[in-house]
Amino acid sequence: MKTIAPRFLLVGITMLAGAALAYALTPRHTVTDKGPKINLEAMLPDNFGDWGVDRTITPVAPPPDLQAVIDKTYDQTLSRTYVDKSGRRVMLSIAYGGRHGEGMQTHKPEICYPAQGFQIEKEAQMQTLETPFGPIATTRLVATMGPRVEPITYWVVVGNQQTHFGIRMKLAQLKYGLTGVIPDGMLIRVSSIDRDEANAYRLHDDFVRSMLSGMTSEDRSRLLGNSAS
Amino acid sequence: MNTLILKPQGGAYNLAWWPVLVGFSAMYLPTYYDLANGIWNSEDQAHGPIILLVVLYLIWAKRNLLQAPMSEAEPSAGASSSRTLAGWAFLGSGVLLYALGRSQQILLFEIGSQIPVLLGTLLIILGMQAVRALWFPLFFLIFMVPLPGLLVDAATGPLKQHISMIAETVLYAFGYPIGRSGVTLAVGPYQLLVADACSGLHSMFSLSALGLLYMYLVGHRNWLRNGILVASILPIAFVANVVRVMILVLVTYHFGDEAGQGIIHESASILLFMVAILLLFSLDWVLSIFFERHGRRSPA
Repeated sequence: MKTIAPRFLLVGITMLAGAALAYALTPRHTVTDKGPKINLEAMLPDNFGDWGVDRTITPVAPPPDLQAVIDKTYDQTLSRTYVDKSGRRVMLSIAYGGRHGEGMQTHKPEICYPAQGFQIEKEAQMQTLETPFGPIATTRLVATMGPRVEPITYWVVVGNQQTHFGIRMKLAQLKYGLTGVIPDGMLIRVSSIDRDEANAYRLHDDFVRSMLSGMTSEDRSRLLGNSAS
Repeated sequence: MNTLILKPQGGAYNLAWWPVLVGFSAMYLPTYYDLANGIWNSEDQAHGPIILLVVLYLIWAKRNLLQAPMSEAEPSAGASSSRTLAGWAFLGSGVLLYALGRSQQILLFEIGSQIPVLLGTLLIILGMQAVRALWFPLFFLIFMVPLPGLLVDAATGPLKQHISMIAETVLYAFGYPIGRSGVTLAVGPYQLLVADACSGLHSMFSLSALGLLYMYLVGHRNWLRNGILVASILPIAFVANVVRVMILVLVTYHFGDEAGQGIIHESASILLFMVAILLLFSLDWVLSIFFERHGRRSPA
């Protein structure tokens, strides 16, 4: 026993050090602890450019069980329908979570649309949306349900970093996490009902540019983050 | 004092484990606690605590190994120090993986780190012999790790598609008024959505665990037989899941929507498991006929 004990002890101490290291590395502050509170309703103007909120339509609300998940994981959600002068409609949906890590996946359109019976007609593909305020790394896909064809454009921001779902998002979170900060996260989704996909995406581009122009620079930067590398 | 000295050697050796036990508990008890309050409650990960218990039992079953005095303590200094070195490398990287995983909520790392941590500990304290004896419980810990989201996302969609397609084709062949649009099945007046959970991905995972455990406990020596069993686990799990979806469709068609969504939905998953296990046992039985006859003919 005399000769063996140090080995056991060393192994035990190594393990304790691991537990302590994990504790020390765990981020405990949210970005929102410091910065000003976000208010999506106030951030997004009712009118900008040719666009205004369409009060006649309330966007389809998610089913109650999904709403419960949303309420639990997202500090704020906003969904509005905008209509322009020629009657074209665009649905805008923003989900914001102060403590990111949780639940962003449930809002990923590739998952959230099929969960409601939509089919993903066209696989998601990444595309850069150029705006006067910098490029946006968007993901585009087409969801369909029966006769309803809905092209979707969305992007995600973690902390102040534009990113994509998957490993890149985890890395963006990690960059904050290792400095002891829990990043917030935002998912911005624009969609319209249109069989002509190219036409829909042009509309989305116009809408997004117009929306960004109508916002204060501070709010705009929260929506845009820094361009994805 | 006397009692301490008079203690049998085995007992003393057992006592020597306490620093390791304390260290391991400090690392993983919080993990288990969080899991028990988190994903272990979800249907997808309900097998997690069972895997842990099985692993604990399998290690306990070999506990005499942990008491054995280090017979090969220092047989040849070179071999021993290199395996100790390897042990420290495993333990060190495991501990770092754990710290990163636990602090940044990467369950893959946090739970997966148990394997290098235990492997390293065994190498340092007991040596290769112990690792060889305990390889299965170490390997089995893989099934405690939740499937990475990337894999789940990639596999769930195609699985759902195929399951809906097969269910439609088979039931149509039996004369049921069934139609399909993507992953939505229409049977009679009812519409059924083949949800993510129906992909059976997670049941495939837990069935694989069960199948491998069965093989380990039965302990066939013939590698071809083992190979056939391993290769058939996933197809069996898939077939069982198609059967489950078809049963749900039939129940809905004959007894209405509520029956299909209610208690039957729950029992169908248990049925899925039983069907899969039965299939696996039958296959092993068929194999046993073949291999044993074959063995008798040519004993060499």
